[in-house]
Amino acid sequence: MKENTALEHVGSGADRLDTFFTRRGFVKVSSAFVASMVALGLLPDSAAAAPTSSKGKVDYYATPSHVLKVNRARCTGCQRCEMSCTLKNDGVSQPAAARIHVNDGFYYGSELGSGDGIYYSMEWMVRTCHMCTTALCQTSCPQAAILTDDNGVRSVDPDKCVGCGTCVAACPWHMPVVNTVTKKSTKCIACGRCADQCPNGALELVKWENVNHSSGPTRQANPEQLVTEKQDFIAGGKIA
Amino acid sequence: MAETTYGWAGQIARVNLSTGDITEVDDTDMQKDYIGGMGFANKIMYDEVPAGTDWMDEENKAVLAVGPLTGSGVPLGGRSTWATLSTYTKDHLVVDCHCGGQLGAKLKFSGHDGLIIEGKADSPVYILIDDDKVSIEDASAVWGKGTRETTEALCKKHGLDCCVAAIGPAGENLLPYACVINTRSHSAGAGLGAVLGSKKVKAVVVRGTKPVNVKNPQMVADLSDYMIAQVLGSNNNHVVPSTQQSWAEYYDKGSRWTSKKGLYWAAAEGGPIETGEPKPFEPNTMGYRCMKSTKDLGPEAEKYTVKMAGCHGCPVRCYAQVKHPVVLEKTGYESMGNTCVPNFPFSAYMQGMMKVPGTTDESGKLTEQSVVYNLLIQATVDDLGLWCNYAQLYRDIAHTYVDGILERELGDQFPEYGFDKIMAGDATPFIKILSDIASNDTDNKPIAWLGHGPFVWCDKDHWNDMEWFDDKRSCLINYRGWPVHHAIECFSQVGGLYNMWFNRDDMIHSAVNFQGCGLPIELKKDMAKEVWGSADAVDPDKNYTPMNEAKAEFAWWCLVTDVLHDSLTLCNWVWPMTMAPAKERSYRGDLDLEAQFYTAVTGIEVTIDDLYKAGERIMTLQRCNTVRGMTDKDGKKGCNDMRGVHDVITEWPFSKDPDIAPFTPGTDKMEHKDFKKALTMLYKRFGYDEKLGCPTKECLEDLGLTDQAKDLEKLGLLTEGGAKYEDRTRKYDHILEKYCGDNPALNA
Repeated sequence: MKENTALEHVGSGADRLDTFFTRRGFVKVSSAFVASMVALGLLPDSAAAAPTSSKGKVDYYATPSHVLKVNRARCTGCQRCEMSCTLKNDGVSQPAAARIHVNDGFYYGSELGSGDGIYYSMEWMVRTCHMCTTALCQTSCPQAAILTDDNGVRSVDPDKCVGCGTCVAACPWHMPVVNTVTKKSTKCIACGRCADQCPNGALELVKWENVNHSSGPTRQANPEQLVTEKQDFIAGGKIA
Repeated sequence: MAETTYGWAGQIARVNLSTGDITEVDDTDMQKDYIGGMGFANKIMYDEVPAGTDWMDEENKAVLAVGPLTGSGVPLGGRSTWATLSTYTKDHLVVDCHCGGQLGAKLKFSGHDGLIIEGKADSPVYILIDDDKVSIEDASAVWGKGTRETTEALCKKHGLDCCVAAIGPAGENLLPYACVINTRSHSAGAGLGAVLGSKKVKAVVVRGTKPVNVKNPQMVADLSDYMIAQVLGSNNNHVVPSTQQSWAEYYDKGSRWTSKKGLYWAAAEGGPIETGEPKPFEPNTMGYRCMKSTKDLGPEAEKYTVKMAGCHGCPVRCYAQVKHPVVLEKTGYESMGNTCVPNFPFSAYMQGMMKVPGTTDESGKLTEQSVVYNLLIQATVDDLGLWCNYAQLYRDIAHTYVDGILERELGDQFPEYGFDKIMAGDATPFIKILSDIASNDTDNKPIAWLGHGPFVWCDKDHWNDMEWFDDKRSCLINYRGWPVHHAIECFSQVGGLYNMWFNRDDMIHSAVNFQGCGLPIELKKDMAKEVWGSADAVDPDKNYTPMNEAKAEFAWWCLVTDVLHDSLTLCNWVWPMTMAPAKERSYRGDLDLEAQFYTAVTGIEVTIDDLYKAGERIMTLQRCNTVRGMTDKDGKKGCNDMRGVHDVITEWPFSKDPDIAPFTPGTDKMEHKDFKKALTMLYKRFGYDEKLGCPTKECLEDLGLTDQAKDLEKLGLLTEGGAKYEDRTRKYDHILEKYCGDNPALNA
């Protein structure tokens, strides 16, 4: 199949905040700080053994092993990714709590007027976790409930999470979701089940370092005027 | 806190528009016997809407329901069923209105298995379901608007993740052919839009954030993976590609597995995407198999194709997504595409009669002009919320035009409809034609009679054209007002029989999927022997044999599987899994999957025979409702002569091809005596009265329909005889098991 790769992206497709998006993106902190981070569960145990620099600082990069790559032109909106995600991670089918978001942009894209969605361009956002080098969801959490596993992936500890939504607000792309029923936050753990089930190969779990850096489109450059704003639609009677 | 329920949400919202009361109904008691979807909706209609109610009456209800598998992650579990009273077929009896899109799943995620809309509002309203919060809201701001504008306005107000199911002007104007549209173009027809219009309900808005609880999520995932990898084909479960491909043993040009090398979603963002050669055991290319834009609209549609899409939770992406500059200019709408009649209203149903020059090229391929004609009509009817009675509207427009009826009946107005322009290559006049039909202003715009259906416009008080029913061009299959939906051309008596069973076109695909799947007839006969007990269940196209027991079994199975799917809810446009694309399993499907998914989702052990019995119960319940409300030949309400009054097939299937005898090669012609016998055999298979075709006391009591038996007895409409389910059924449990070695439920 001919590859349509021009618009592949990771994350929400929005312009990145962390432009330094490579495996060499690292944080410089003191070893004592690392130890405390490990104790809090924010970094894996392996972090403590990370090499120490001559200035008494550690170079530690908590980059995840994998990230989802998206080609939204291939997405046909079936939303099996959302159901598959929650079946695997929550034991229920609950798209609103999924760690990948399609359904909220399916009709009108990222916002009304974006020119996207099934009513306009027939493209829509497939929003996935950016797997940030500096994960604001994690650093903002007042309960220290977002932990980093051995793969560098952050996940929510439901026992610690109180569902305050700080992570949702802190994430520049608002990717975590506080489940309306369990009142716990959820975020992507790069399990790849969504990609397994995508009938169009629009999703791919790739090694983090192989990420295509391009940001995907978030809206149409020249969106069609909203039908609620124009006056020549059929059933409004203006044409007929 | 209530015990966790699996599959079902456990409650149905009841909204009374007359009183403003909103309550929740516990549906636990209905789950086992009526499953959900069509079963729930028909049970509620039987119990709550008295026989003889008119569709416009306050006492009529519109019941939307989903089933235990809806939104559960089971493939193709995104559909929903409404039931209400027919607006356009004789006696206004109960009908089902199915739709896909997002409505069913969103409803389930809101924590509801259904919505009962009853009473009438004084002024325009919409019903808002936001998880547990159900409310009646003022719709005056969107009354008069098309479905697109209505959807956009209500999403703007309540959130872009809401599903809006709206009526357009056709429904507001109480046009009998009005529908309810969700997700741009997914239509629930059969006049449902007019029923909602009569209740002043502009829309149902649903937002759902809750879970569907699943008893065994790993098994749902494993069964899904197995099914998608090797059992599921393309749209209509066609299991071979439409062109010769190196990997495929068979191909069939009629197949809806239309992907091929060099065929692109040419208008995709970022550059063309090739459909290529997706194969079995490639779950991540499944969604490219059905290239529906060029299949329906012709080769010129490739360049306008953005992608495919479809219903919630379905990996078979059968729904074309196209944009066309001319249609945008003429209608204001950028996006279009469908998978059913609105994708080919002109080229498939009108062109045969109208013969507009330029619609096909010398080789018979559809042209650019054809693309515009089809899409322009599609964009218009979806916005108007105008349904077509499975294409009857288009056949009726073409017929009344070419045979001079419109010119006769419309008088001075006739030239205003611009048929001369249509014949000269300009489709624009269709906007006025369809808009005037949707106006339902029959006094001032008599063309609107066409939107009342042929049962009305053909009668002697209107345009006096009853012979249209017996004209093969009409495709009308029953004098009560509905057309064929895969009828005699689909396995002869089998298709003819199930076309009689409901109060509208049947929408059964269990047979036509098998017919069109692309496997050779010899293999199909082998499969028929395994599934329906005899190779004689199926005939080659247009080379039929007289009626036999296996055909009756096949027809029964088509009916119960369809009803089962509409209750679970699964898509009967693809289910059941009779056949499969994988040569490794000898192309055999897996008929236990519905039961295995049901068990995995709900935790309740069932066999496919249990589910078929439930399907039969639901079907028989609807037949009881029909018996109770149908008028006899003297106009008296309550009639159990289903054979003589209801199941009456039109004459053209018997009179067509006058030079060829029935049961000879080259014709799908039927024979009267044989069809009478066919009805008798199917009545027997259902345990009904073999003379009358109505459910008997024994049959009803055995199905647990004792209340219905009592009701019919009181009305003098109950007969003795018939047989218990166990004494007349064939066992389907695990009949294809030897081909299903990879099935995870069998290996659990």
